[in-house]
This record gives sequence, C-alpha cells and structure tokens, in this order.
Amino acid sequence: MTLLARRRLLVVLLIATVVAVVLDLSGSGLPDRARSLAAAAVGPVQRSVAGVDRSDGARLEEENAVLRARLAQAEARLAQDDAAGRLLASPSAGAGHLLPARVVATNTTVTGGRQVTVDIGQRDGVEPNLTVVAADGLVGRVVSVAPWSSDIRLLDGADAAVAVRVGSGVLGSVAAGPAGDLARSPGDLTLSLVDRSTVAVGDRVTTLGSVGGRPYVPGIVVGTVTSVDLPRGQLTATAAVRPAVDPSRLDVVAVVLPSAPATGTAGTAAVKAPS
Amino acid sequence: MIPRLSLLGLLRTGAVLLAALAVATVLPRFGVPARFRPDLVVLLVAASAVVRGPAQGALLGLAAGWVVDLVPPGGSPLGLTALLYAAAGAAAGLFHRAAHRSLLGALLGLAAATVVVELGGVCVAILGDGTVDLAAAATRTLVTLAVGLLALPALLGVDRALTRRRLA
Repeated sequence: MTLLARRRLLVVLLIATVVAVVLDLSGSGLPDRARSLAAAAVGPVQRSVAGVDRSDGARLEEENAVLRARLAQAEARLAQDDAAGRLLASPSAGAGHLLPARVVATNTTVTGGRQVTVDIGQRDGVEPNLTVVAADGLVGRVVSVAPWSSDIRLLDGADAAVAVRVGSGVLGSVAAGPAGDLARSPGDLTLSLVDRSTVAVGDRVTTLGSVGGRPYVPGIVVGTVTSVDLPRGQLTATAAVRPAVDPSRLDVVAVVLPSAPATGTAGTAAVKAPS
Repeated sequence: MIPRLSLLGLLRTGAVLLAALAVATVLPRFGVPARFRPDLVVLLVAASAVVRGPAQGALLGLAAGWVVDLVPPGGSPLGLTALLYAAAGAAAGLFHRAAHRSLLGALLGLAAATVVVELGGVCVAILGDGTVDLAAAATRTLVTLAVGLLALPALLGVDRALTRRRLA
C-alpha cells in the first residue's frame, strides 16, 4: 500500500468513526446493533477466557451467594417495622428467582460506558432492566442483553439513581457523585431525601422498589449512611452512603428474574443448576 | 483502497484483540484494581507506531480502539475510544526517528500515546459531567510506562524481525 492510499484509508475510516460516535450520541439504533453483534461473537470467547469455574466448589459458591442475598433481602424486610414497610414488603415484593452469574469482564475504556459484563444472557432468560444483586446487597441493573452475556450498569454509573428507604421509612434517592461542592471519599454515593426529615449515621439504606420490580425490586440493601452533610441552604438533607457492595470486587452476582405470578412460585429460592 | 492483508497485519490485529480481551477480562480476575491496570492495548499500538510512523500508528490505533469499543462491556459512545487510540497511535508515531536511535525514544512515544489517551479520558469526563480522577489517570500512566519499559524491547525486536523477513 502506498503512503497516499494509506492516508486516504485513514481519513475514510476516521470519518466513519466520527459518524459512528455522532450516531450513538443521537440515539440511533445502529451502534447498538453493532454492539450486540460483537457481544454475540465475543461472548463465548470471553466466557472461556475468564476461566469461569464449573466445578462443584464453584457451584456451591454461587448457591451460597444466592442464599446470602435472599437472607439479606429477608432481613431487610424484617427490619422495616413501619406500616408502609409491611405493605411494601408483601409476599410478592422482592420474591423473584435469583439467577447466579459470574463477572467476566469490566470496563477499561477511559471514556466510561457500560461497566460490567456477566456470563448469562438471553439464553438464560435475562432481560434488560432487571435488578442485579450480590450477597451483600444491590449491584445495579441489566442494561443490555446478548445471547451469552449481559451488561450491567453499577450504582456509581453517571445516570444511575435509585429510589430508597432510609432506616425505618424516610424516603430518598441515591445517586453517584458528590452533592455540589462537597468532598466524598471515592466510591461513596450521595443520598438526597425527598422531604424534610432527618437521617442518622449508621442508618441502613434499602431499595424502595419500582413499578413491576423493574429496574429495582424492593428491600435490597444499598448501603449505610456514613455521614450526614451540613445544611447548605437546600430544603432537604443530603448524606454520604457507603455502598454495601464494593464494585471493584465483584465476582458472583445474581440477576433477579421476575417470578411468574400464575404458578405461585414466589418465595422459593430457585437456584439454577449450571448447564 | 482495500488494504492488502499481510501476515504481519493479521498478527498485529490478533495481538491487539488479545490485549483488549486480557485487559477487560483476565486482569480483573487477578484482583488488579482499575487504577493499577496497565493499558496493554496502547502499549501494543505504540510499539508498532514507533517503528512505522504516524499514519500507520493512527490506523492501528483506530482498529484497536474499535476492538476495545466493541468487546463487551465496551465503550460509550461507540467509536470514541477508537478516535482516542488513533490520536495516541499518531502521537507515538511522531517519535519514529527517535525510536530508531534508542529505546528511550520508543519509551517517549509510549508516554505520548498514554498521555493522549488519559488526557482524552479526562476531557470526556469533564464534558460528560463525570467525576475526574486525576490521581488514577496519573497512576495508570505510570503503570503502563513501567510495563512498557519491560515489554517494549521485546515487542520492538519481534516487530523488526518480522519486517526483516518480509512478512509485511
């Protein structure tokens, strides 16, 4: 290839790439299709490169994580002793099947984007906007699904916000990033209350739940309040929340599949046997 | 317009694909925190760019960036990492002459490429209203340079040996 041809090729490819960036930013479906094609092609390779262990020990570890997640869920529900809590913690709430999964890849680009890929996908029944939990609490939600893998957005993602209940019933929302100019230790989330109530250090923060359990089912531990911010003239209080799950140490997680209401399987811990 | 597929080109593409997979998949499994993960992709791009010059460096960087963007979980928006790595490849390619004289020149090329990628990331974070972690960016640059100091001589040697055998 001559130098001129190479330059010309470079210019054409650069223009094509810029077009791809603009298409993705403008919300066209084309880049997403390219992504899912790539995910379908690379998924099996990723699963094998990640060396996901399919031995008995690994299966027990997955079962253990699922059961601990269910236990934490049940404890969180017991801890809500107010009327609203009892109402929301009805048997149907938060009683989906937990499908264990392993993290096979994490994001490495400096430009951000989706954060974690797990080794279950469409073929296992995963759909977008399902809750993802770990043994200690909430991990995030499924944002896209390929045949063999799914991408998960964690709580510290730029546009992740979770409606939560603090302590015995104060409502608020948890999002990443500092509130205004306050300093936060890395990894901490910011809790903003919806009304003029107060929270205390050590209060437990659990999910409030969304309509139909998507993207977040109720009663999952998000974290604990580590410090309450001084009032800075705003109407409602804000506080720092240390997440229950350390996003840099994710391994076994579980996707909460919606339980079929007609079959009455709610409340049974369904641990999928790894295929 | 269609590039002639050479064995060397295939080898380079394969190496970049493996590096992208390794950075995303294997390193986190060893419990390496994100800030200490070397950017192996930029290392391979820079190693090739300092031998071949800016135009080829930018081409390989673009291809590598596309791989990084497409291997799940991938980058967002699609193609931005490709543009960043193309700029990094071109930057490393500017040290073409210096790299012929000494290893220090090649290392400078790698440093330029890494700085371009990290600075680009910081700019994207500022524009995208994300949190900017300058300490992490600096740490990653240093780790990548340290790995490059060990790996660059071997990578350059392999690349030159393959070129000498007229595989290109």
